[in-house]
Amino acid sequence: MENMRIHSKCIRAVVLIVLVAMTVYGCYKTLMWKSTADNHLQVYDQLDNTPTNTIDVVFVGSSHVYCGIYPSVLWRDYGIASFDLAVSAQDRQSAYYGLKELLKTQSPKVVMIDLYNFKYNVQEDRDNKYRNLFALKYSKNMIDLVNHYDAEENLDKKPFYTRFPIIHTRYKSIEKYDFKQNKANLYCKGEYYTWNTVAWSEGAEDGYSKTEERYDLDAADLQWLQNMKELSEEKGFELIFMVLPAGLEDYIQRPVNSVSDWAEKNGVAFYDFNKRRSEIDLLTGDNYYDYNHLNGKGAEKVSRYIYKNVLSQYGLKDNRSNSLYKTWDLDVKQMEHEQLAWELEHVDNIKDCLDVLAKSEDMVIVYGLSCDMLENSNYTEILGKYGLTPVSESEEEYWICVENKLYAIDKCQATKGYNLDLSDTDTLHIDITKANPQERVMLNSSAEGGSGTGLCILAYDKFLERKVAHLEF
Amino acid sequence: MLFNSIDFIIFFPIVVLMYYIIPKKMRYIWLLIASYYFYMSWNAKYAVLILFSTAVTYVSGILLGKAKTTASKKWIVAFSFVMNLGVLGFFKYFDFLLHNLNKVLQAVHITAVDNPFSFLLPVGISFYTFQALSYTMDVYRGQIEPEKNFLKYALFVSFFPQLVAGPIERSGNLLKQIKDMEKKSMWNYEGAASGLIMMLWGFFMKMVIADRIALFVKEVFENVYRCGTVETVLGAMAFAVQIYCDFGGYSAIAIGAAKILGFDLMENFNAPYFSESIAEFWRRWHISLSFWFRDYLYIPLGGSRCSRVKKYRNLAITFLVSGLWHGAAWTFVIWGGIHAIYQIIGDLLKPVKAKCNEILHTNTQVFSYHFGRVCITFLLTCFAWIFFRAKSMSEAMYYLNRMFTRWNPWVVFDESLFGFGLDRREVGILIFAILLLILVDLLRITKKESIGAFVLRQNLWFRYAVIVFLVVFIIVYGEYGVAFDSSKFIYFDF
Repeated sequence: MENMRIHSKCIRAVVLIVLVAMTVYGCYKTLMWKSTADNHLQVYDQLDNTPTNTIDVVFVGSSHVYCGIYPSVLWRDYGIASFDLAVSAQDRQSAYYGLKELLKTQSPKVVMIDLYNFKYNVQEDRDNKYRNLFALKYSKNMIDLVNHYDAEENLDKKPFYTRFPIIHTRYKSIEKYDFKQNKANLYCKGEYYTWNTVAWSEGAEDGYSKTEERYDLDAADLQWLQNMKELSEEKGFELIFMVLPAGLEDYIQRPVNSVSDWAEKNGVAFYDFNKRRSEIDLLTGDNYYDYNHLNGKGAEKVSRYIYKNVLSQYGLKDNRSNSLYKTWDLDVKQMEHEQLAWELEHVDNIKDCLDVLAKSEDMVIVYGLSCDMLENSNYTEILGKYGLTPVSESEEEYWICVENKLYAIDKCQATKGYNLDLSDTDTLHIDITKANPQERVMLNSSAEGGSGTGLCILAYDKFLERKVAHLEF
Repeated sequence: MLFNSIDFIIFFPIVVLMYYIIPKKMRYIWLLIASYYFYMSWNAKYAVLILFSTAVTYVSGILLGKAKTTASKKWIVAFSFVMNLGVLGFFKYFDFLLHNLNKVLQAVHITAVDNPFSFLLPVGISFYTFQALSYTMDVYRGQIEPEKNFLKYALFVSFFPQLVAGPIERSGNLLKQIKDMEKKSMWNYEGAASGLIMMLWGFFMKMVIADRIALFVKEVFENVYRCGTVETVLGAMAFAVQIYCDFGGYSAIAIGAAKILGFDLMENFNAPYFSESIAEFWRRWHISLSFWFRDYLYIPLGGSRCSRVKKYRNLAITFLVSGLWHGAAWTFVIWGGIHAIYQIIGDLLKPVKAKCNEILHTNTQVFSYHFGRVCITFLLTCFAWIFFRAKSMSEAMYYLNRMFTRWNPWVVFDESLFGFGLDRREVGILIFAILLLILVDLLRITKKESIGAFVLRQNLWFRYAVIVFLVVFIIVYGEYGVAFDSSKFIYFDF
């Protein structure tokens, strides 16, 4: 009897420990820093979701890499399976241990490492420090990274080992993607998609460093370079150092020059793409989204250039017909949808808008027109040219376009309100009986109806799971 | 090491695990090593002081056991007191005395004296000194036999859960349990479970409530110039909550930790803000210290078994000394003095109050009567806390000036209160946590049991839910980590 009681208490204690551990783990997953680029995309989650031993090329670095090289372009155009192992302001130790972490599940043939942050020894931005030190999951590499982190002197390591003392403060900024996995993490390959441009003033080129001076590499610098070389020899990949197009200043260019000397002496390939901007056709502002980062247009050019001038010599296989590489196809789809979304954000007339929408897939589009506008304008004629004619006649005001078919909200539905679940968190609700025209179309609690004086278009991309346009003409 | 630190989270389970693995007769040695390690993590050099206090009171105990005459016993007690209070006085009050001496010298145009020393106040010196002295007195009074085993006695003085901020234990309780360690059962499941819940509740009080509300208190007290009645009253009330949760939380952790190790420490807080009078408040607040002063100062002075004037004199002395014990500053003395005045006036007004109740036909059995008394007592303690919190008399007087001369009720509605260190979200969390605290204290006074005992009586699902809830709330909403100042417990300066 006594034994049974002890036994039962032991079981209860174990159950409690498991319950507490599961709850603490749940809290950890919710509060954990999620983005490697301030966008709820986490490159190491994307790596985990990439099938084992499928990546042939890895690009390692900071925001210059995830902005400047698109694996989706390399896949779409050449069938090369690549990956951007890039974190905002990635320091060199994060690069080294992050690469070691990747090499646990992947066997790339080529690894190209951007040297912008080679001497990045000041992490001024707290969030970037956390992004780098929390990017890796709990592992020996994570412990080693914290131990060898040389971007900050006298780093207090304990909170980084235990993580909770830092991450728990995120309860102040919890968002949807802290509870729900960002779908893009299932298939993206580390890129940051944007096509924004920067106003490029003449002479902007002159701001980039042209110094040929060198910087004396110290013992720590040489050790890191040697570690990378030994890693490449141990794991059998081709190590290449590079500098991507970015606004390097003299204090960054000097160590880069020194590393290029070291690379030459040690038989490691080195490419300074920054000096080849003219050749890559990157001399205008529409290739950059700020003075230091390329946009999608620039990234496409750089990606193609890297393939033609670097990767093509390594006999990398075209895997486009291999079903194991489905996630790269989805990554391409992600890029195309993001590009479409960007284009929609920047249209300023109805024709361009409808041209873009005509290319779209997986969209739910709501067109709103008031009855008197119907009679007194040529909107129906315009919409008709795009194959958008009402399937059913209605005197009411709203239509929904789903898979390119325009459905009128009939009276019955209008009085009840029309609901459509767009994703597992977003719902479209249309109620044309509302006095306020803006509230006639609701996306969750956000009023998306127009002012009632023109054609209002609300577009929701079901693949991206977000609203991509809310326009009024 | 602080209780709310990674070091303690690692230290404590190792101590507990080893404690239950090693043979029973060696356990006290292990606890003694752990206690000294705990103390030396603050500053290794100050272990000499606790060792000194231990040695003096141990020897005093032995000598008291051998002494034949009352006179010689009194000399031994005096020796123990002088040595211990001398050390305490030197480390704690030297600066204060010198500062006041220099003020006097300045007033008569004499050059101030330089302070030749520079040292930090040893953590917990007020607590372990009083604990050791209580042993001397208990042996003197014949309430306990002198302890012959030096190591067991050293453990009594240095027992780590209560070493640096109490409860100030009595030899009749803690030393007795240490002596009886070998008779304890191998493992007390209920004790450990109850202790764990107490510890979690203590962390909740300290990390979720005390450290959070401290941000508001700090903003108010450091920016009194922009405060009016509303902010200053709220600031005083907030400090009342802060000091209760800080100190009460520490005590709960200490009692819980001791319970896990199989020791029952005395209760230190018993829902003090539900007191209906200041006298009752001191039976519920920092109970171990109040009882110490009652047994070793107030009663020896004559207590209340003397004329009214002497009784009030004894009260005043006790509370003034208690104030001084809390800190080497006149504000603490004033704070103690205010409590003495409260009690004296309360005693004087007893017949007046009774007469008023009779004339007004006040029903003293109803909720409103008791609620009113609780509110008044709380407000009186909050007023006194202003002096406790203020860094100087002038700061305290300025605070009161703002409280009584800047009537500004509109700040309740214009959201400017959210500019005092806590935004809406933080205030929401605080209010929820304080409501929980009130609920727990209400349970305490109605059920007369600790939260640990109460939860342990409930069904399994409820016990698990409470534990999981506390763990989650502490690790998510606790004020700790690199983004916050992991503030040490307030009473560590005593």
